[in-house]
Amino acid sequence: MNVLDAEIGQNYGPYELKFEDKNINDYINCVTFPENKEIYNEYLPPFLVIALALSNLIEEIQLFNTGLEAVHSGQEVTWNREISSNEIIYANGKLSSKKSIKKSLFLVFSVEYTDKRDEIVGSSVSKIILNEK
Amino acid sequence: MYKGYKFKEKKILVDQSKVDLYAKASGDNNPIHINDGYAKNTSYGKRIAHGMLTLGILSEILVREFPKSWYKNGNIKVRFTAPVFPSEYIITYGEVISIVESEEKKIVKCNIGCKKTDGTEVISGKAEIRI
Repeated sequence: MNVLDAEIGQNYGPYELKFEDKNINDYINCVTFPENKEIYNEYLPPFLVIALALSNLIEEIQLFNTGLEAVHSGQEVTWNREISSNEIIYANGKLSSKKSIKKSLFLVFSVEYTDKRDEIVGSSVSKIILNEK
Repeated sequence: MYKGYKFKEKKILVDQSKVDLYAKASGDNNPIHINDGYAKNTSYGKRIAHGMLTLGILSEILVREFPKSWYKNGNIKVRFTAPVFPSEYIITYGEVISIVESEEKKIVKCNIGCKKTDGTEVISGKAEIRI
């Protein structure tokens, strides 16, 4: 549902996040420090999980079809455990706040990440501001 | 590690090839990051890097300082305070502000952030790592 029409509490997803070698390598090549690369032989770069979930969310809320300019203003992430590249993670999003102040719309999305056993592996909160162009 | 310990700063070039690669890897194809014509008509007047790309780079200082603990039991909360334009350098920094130890675990709290070479803050926030 387009975010302009959505009400607080609107659920998004779940998104099934799979991590292909090409995506992981591309991500590592643009983000990670060379001295850290060895760590990612074992585990995923944690922010790759968040990035994929956020991309799915942005698509579902049709962020680029609002006619407004979107600004990512804040981000919170919490991990409960490491994630391996062969895992499938499910991201469940929710519009947790929506406030209109002057000519801007302030949105907060909460996302919970679970594994195939339905155990929570992490969570994130994304703050987005939509401004008139 | 101790209260007041400063992480080694790292200067990173955020160029358009990184932005394009990040768009491919993440699937975030917002035209403001990858389409020059679109970006020219935004309030920024040109393409900007993804905030999550910059944040991903910032999180690497935590991977380096806490190689096993950060992504097993970590929390980060940041504000994006200024856009990063392709071809700009960012400098990641961090400092331990408290360490609380109990029998079971140690909790390290840090101030972290990224700034441009002219000192403009682009990300600022806090991280907490349970060891």
